[in-house]
Amino acid sequence: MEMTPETIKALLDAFDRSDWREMVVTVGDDRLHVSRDPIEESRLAAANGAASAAPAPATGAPGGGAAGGTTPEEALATGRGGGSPAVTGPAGAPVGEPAVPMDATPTSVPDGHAIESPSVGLFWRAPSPGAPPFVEVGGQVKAGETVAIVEVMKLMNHVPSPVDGVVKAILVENGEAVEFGQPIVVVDPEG
Amino acid sequence: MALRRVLIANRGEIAVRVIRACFDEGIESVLAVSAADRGSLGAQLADRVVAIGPAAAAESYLDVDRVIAAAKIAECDGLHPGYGFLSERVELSEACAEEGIAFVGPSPEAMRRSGDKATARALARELGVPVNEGSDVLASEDEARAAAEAVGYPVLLKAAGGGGGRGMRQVEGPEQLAGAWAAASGEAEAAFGDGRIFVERYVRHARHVEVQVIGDGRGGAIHVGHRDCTLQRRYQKLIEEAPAYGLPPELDATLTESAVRMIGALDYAGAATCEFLVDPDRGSAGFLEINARLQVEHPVSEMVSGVDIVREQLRIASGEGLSVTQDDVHIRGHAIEVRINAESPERDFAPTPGRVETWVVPVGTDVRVDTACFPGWSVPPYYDSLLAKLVVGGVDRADALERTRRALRHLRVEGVETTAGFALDVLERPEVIEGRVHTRWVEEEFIPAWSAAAAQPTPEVA
Repeated sequence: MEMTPETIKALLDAFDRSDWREMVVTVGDDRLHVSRDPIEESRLAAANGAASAAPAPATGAPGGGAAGGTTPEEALATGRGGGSPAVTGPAGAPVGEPAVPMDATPTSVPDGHAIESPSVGLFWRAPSPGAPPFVEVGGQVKAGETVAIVEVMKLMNHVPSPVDGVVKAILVENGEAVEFGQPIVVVDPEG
Repeated sequence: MALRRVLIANRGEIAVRVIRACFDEGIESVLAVSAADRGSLGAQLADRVVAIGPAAAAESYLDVDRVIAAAKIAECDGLHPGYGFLSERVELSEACAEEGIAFVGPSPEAMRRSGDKATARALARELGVPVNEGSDVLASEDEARAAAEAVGYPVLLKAAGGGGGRGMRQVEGPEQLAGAWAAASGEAEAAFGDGRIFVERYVRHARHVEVQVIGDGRGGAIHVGHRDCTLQRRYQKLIEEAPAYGLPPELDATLTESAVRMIGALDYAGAATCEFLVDPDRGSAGFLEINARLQVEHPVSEMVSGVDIVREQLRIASGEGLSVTQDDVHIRGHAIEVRINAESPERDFAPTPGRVETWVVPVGTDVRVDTACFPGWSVPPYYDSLLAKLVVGGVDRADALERTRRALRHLRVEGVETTAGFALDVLERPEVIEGRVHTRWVEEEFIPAWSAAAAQPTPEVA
């Protein structure tokens, strides 16, 4: 068996109908990796020449996908949300056309103001472990109100919302690594 | 413990140079980038990229916490600081030690002792290394006046904690001392947070000669020969060569042996440079300072010695030790490096950031171009203007000069102005070919004549 456009399409259809977050299928040297969550986009961005304005999310803790031992074989990236896939062969060259085109704008980010991380660091939703989160999806925020913390070597950077509005999405898991410029929280000023 | 993954806390050509050494050593490279460098050549070549902050260097390449955070997030076990930025900041070496990350460079203690000019001069004297005549750190203008009288005018006032010409003043006579004292100490305080000043004899027609040393961190060190960096403008090197030409044999040995002794005594790990001021009129040399990092001009030493200095740095940081002994180091031929800056020599070397439309570099045996430039790259306005280093080797100095001029004529850059044409004009001058230059020659003699010639209207062809 080999990874043909037909088998890829069948696998993607199955993924689409499922409630899975992520799927990895390996056939010989080919590997298909699809995810509804942001994973290891930096590698693909770099391979593409990377002038893309979309920031590359950092890999999280060890064990999270290809975190760490990113070799060309493992450097299978996906678009964020929506499960837009990319397939690469052993040398990292594209194999077949992705069923859904790669899009620099993540489709899962709802309309609104995407607040970006001010630094590389760790993303925290609450001021301390166990404390209630600064914001929840659906909650109201005022301009200047803290929506999250990005920790840089024990220095807690409070990230304020630049606008009044309603929190539409929180794009990063608590405790995950973020990079400078990465969208972390979406606030809709329209409410 | 061999290094597995190294964070490169730098940008531009040196980031690419370190990525290359990581490749050669089988180490994964992770490049920390600012928002302005996401599309850089280094970002495309590295195994992984971590965006650490905005374009402003203070919030990216100069921020110790962000650099360390990036190294931890990417699970790096080593960190290479390159040159400039944080490379000589003791805090970075300390933070790496605290986090269990191998710093590719000296220990905090060795960096502190070698980086401070006053303690480095004291160490040199202790070890019997010739030191340029001068004083210890001075407490007041009156002390400076007495020290200047003792050394004899003209003198230089110099910042103990600084470099790059900041906090430095030339004093021709006693009437200039008060003003120079205030200016030098104020500038040093502002630039380095350290207003300590000492006096040094000013050598009018000095040559700048430096010795490349690599220390193993356990008291052992080798030298990789010397370099001449006399062709400077405002204390910024323009053209460097290896070896330093025309040194009397006994001076040659004194310089290399002194440098090895000092770096060994510091238990210094990695690449270091010991700078000396050579007075050709007296045939003497005096120690100036130690640069506790890899230097821009390291490729000329690599070309004449065959030693890969950056790979040796990585080997030492990983605990593997040097791959060569002093007996293995043989200097062959001559190499010249020309810094190609995105600057306009016609407009007083104003930086010329912008998009590089055409970028064609010369090819040839022993022609090496260290660069992060490529066609379509936009030189950002936030950082220094070094675009490329053209390094050319030859069987001897005359051959290397001829081949360097030939290579410069084959460099094609469109979109931004560069200093390449200016450098070619410098390399055609008889004073350079015959080695009759000093550290102020470019500014005092070459540029005035060059500017006057450039201002002449081109004769009309009838």
